[in-house]
Amino acid sequence: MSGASRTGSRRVASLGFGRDATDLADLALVALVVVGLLLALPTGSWVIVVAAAIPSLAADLLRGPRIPALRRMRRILLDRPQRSLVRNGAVVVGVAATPPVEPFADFAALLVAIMAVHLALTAYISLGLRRLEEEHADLQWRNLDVRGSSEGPDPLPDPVQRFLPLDGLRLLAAVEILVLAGLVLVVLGVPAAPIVLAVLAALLAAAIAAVAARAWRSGGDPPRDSDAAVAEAVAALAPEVVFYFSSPASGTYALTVWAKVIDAMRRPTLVVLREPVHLDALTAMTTPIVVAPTVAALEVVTPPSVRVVLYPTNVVRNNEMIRIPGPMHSFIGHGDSDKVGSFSPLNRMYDEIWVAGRAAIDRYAAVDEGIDLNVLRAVGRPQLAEIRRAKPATEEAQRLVVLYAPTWEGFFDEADYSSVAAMGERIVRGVLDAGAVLRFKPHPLTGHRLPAAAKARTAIEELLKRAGDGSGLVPNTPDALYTAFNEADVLISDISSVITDFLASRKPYAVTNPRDLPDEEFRALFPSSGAAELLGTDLATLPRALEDAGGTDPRRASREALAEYLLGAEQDPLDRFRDEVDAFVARADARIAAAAIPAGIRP
Amino acid sequence: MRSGGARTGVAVAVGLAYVVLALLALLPAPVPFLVLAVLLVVAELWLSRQTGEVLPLLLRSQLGVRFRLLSLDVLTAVLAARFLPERALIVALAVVSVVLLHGGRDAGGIFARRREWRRNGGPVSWRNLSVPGLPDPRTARPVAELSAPLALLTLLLPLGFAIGDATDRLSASLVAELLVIAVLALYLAGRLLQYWLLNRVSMDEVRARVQAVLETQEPEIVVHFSGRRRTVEQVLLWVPVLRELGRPCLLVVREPTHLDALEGCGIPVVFAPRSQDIELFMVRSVRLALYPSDITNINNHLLRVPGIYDVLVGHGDSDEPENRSPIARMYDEIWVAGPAGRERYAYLAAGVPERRIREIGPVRPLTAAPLPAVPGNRPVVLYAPTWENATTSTDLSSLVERGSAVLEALLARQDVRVLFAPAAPTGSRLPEYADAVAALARRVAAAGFEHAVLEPEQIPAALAAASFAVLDVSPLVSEAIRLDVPFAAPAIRGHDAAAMVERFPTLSAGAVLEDLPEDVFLALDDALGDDRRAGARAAMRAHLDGEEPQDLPRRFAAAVTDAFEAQRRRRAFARPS
Repeated sequence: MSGASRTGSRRVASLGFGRDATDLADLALVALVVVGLLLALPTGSWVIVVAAAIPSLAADLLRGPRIPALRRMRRILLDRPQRSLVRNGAVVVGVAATPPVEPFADFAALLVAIMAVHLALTAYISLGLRRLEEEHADLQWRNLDVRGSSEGPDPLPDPVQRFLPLDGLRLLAAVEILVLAGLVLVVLGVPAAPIVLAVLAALLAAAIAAVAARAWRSGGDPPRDSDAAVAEAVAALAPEVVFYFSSPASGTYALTVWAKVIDAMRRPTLVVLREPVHLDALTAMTTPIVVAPTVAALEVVTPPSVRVVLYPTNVVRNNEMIRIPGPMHSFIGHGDSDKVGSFSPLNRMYDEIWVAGRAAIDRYAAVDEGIDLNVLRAVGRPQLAEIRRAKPATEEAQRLVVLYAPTWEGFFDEADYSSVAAMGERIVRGVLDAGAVLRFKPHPLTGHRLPAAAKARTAIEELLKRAGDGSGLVPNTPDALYTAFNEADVLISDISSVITDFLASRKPYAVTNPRDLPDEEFRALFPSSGAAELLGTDLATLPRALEDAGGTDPRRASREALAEYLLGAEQDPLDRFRDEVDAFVARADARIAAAAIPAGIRP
Repeated sequence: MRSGGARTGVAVAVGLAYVVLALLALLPAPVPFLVLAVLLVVAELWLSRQTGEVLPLLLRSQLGVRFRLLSLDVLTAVLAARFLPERALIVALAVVSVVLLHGGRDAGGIFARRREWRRNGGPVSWRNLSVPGLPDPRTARPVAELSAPLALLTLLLPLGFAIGDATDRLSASLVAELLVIAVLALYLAGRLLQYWLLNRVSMDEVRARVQAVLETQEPEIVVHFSGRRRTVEQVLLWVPVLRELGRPCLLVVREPTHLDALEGCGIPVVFAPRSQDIELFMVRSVRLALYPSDITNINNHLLRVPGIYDVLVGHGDSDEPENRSPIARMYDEIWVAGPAGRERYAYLAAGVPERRIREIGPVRPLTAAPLPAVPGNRPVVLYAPTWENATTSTDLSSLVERGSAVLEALLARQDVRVLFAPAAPTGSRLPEYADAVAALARRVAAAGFEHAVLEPEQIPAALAAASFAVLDVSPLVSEAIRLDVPFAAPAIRGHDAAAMVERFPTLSAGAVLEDLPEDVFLALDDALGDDRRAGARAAMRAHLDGEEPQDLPRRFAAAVTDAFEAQRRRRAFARPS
């Protein structure tokens, strides 16, 4: 079973018991049944209400458990037993109101069958929920040997699926088809058959409840109990380095930028996630991963071997790890730029804050929020290991490759550093007219806030389609940006982490100045533009920028200096990062030795 | 607390009633149907107004009152169809009526809750503060799960059919249906109007007006508090110190449950549920934020607002893990009572830098609630276990593990008055702790009138009156030392006495109870007799509170002044934003 489907099915298993598992579509389908009934009554055609009941029943049968997306509306939505009640009730009313008056016995049998289905449904849901509470299978793991499985835990097994390719909840929906058929036979005047169907439905419902009770009662199937084994496996792994990650589902990229670095660690390393949703994006990772959803689970997967914990994001749940005494903690972030807003007084909670280079330390120093500057360490950007240095000049005839990688327009005007709307099309035309190849890598959110930016983005893509001949769009895949770096001779970009990263190549770059600030002021505000050609809105400097980059390259020396300032001294960035981790572990060891933390303090 | 057997009995009775109701609808038998429906609705109304868990879990969740009344609606429609199959109009109106009844019950509950929410301020709330253009908020009243008028209205339909059946006047059914429809239409229209009236001021407007008032009040110090129900004491004990300081203050609470207790405390209070509200209310004048508790992550919301000096002040001195947590690093400073508080953080070496810790003297609990008076003059002994705490690894409560043995040992002494005082949040995380409190309370009640179970507010008075106290690691231990009350702490979680004292050094001024009941008898005898630990308590008191323990107001004021200065330097240095 693949990782994605495993996390998905676990999620469904824990929700699959009717807990808030409804949405507006279900409510609308139930309303359709009532409308069908109101049409059936005056026209005397019971067929309408039976037909109107089918979509709702089919939805319960085919759609299966729903994700509770509308918790706030839970007070008006109808849960699965309530849907079943209204649906069957409406059909009973429609059939009963159709003369001639049908025999009492048929109806009574069918109504009792409906109640049996409701009881079975409730029993099934309650038993399943109780079973989930009894279990100790909160911790998910991957790339870790837990009792012979490298990932787990398996989803809660459905007892009905042992016999049929259908889970119990859906089978109960299927049983309702028998009831519906029975009601149709009543109104058609078929003798005996309705009672047979009713008895059959009631027996099936009872059987499903019995199967669930047998498997899920206390003393039935053994509950899944993997948490202790996961804790043992983690203790056996004896991780010294933990990458700790928590974020909303949309923020997984902050961890994926570290994925290759994590897999290249020299010391025993564990990735601790707080939300299972990130697992889907980490299928390629080979480092052991555990998901610890609760504070208690977190304590269990933090054995005394852990020396250092590294945090790519700054979120409130980091508190829960930092509370655990013993390890040292460092905030490592997930990018480096001159943009405002990445800074928080909360960073005081870490023992150390690791940044790319001297520039980031200066940024912290500019805003005193009680952070001791001694806790800041420049460690380089290990993700940049795959960015190659400029190649020596090759054949004369080769065309210049220009990468245009602008940022997006930001959530506010104050945070808008983007050139796309104001200059994008003209930049692209200028580059193409100069005979160079242009690769376009817009920020994925470009056009999210401003329609003008979206329009310009589309126009640029059109331009590139027509230009052909090597020019085109860089795909939006995780590695695409750094590959594009390696293929480019020169970068044109906006104030963003892209330019800092590109400097690892030491290749020429140009930075847009869309508000036409005086050059000196601009470079003072944004040190990362220090060794760039600046492009004002008139693009007067664009031809020179392309010419210099392809020829004399007068800014080479200043780029080398700036790259060292931003990214740290020249060295294999990955080796450097691993050395930093080693040194950090040594500091943590020393601290633990000095503190002589009594055993009782550890959870 | 009711037994499982009784609950099952109720469940079976309710279930059977609905089966019989279904058969009566099918027969059709309108008069018996009415009688049974009346019984059921009255029973549901009674059940929905019971406190405690009368029904088994199933009838409170999957098959809750909403499902059961929906069943009654459906069966009423079935009755209509079986009773008058030839009269399509009456049946159709019955269907419309029951749909409206169900919708009306849902909408009525939603509107009622919304109205209460809005009357308590709406998106935010406030006390001891007047906001122009907005009425003073008042505490939301709980909304009954089942509204009586709407539930009784449900019975009008079967009544119509019963009258029709008994008198052959079928128009009665029609009248009942039209009446139900008309009443519900009026009811919903009225609720909508009320809702519209309450919502004339938008939620953003409410927040903006509260913010505007705060701008004019110019608070300099903010106390940020979040805690479980009945823990508001932790912020109340700072109120006298803050009022003596004479600077403009603001209390910010993150749960509405604290508002009532803070009404009239003399300091403006706002309830800010969202992190955005915190940013909004931190007006330019705010220079210093004080945090009396650090048990959840919610303090981060205020900590990340730049330009404010953040100080963890706690709510009393103790050896609890919270008082030496490495997370305390995220505050600019931690203010502790005395040397013992400082040492706790030094314990972990680089856990919290020494210069961030400041001793200001002990903050003392309020002794507002008196003890119940009893005749006689028996020595008072107190058992006050702490709660189970937010996580199992920081749980220091003896309640479940040793509570019963401790209490039995105390009660075995015939010549003392035993007071049992569980901490306020006990049982809020783990039900077995609530169960243990209930069991011990029953035991105390059975032991005689002179013994008593106390409310949390009475604990300070009880400790002051006690000749001997059995306590868990909590601020009460420090209080016992300050009040010179002999105390003992039960050894828990497999620790022996030596391990307890090593882990919680304050306990060295008292006895540690390993073998029960013998150690209780020994400690109690000593407390009422020689009191060999008096010297240890005196020494520990100096260690806890320092040399000038009575001078909290002056030292607090000096610490505030220094914090203001640090914050001023910082703002002057910071880049204008």
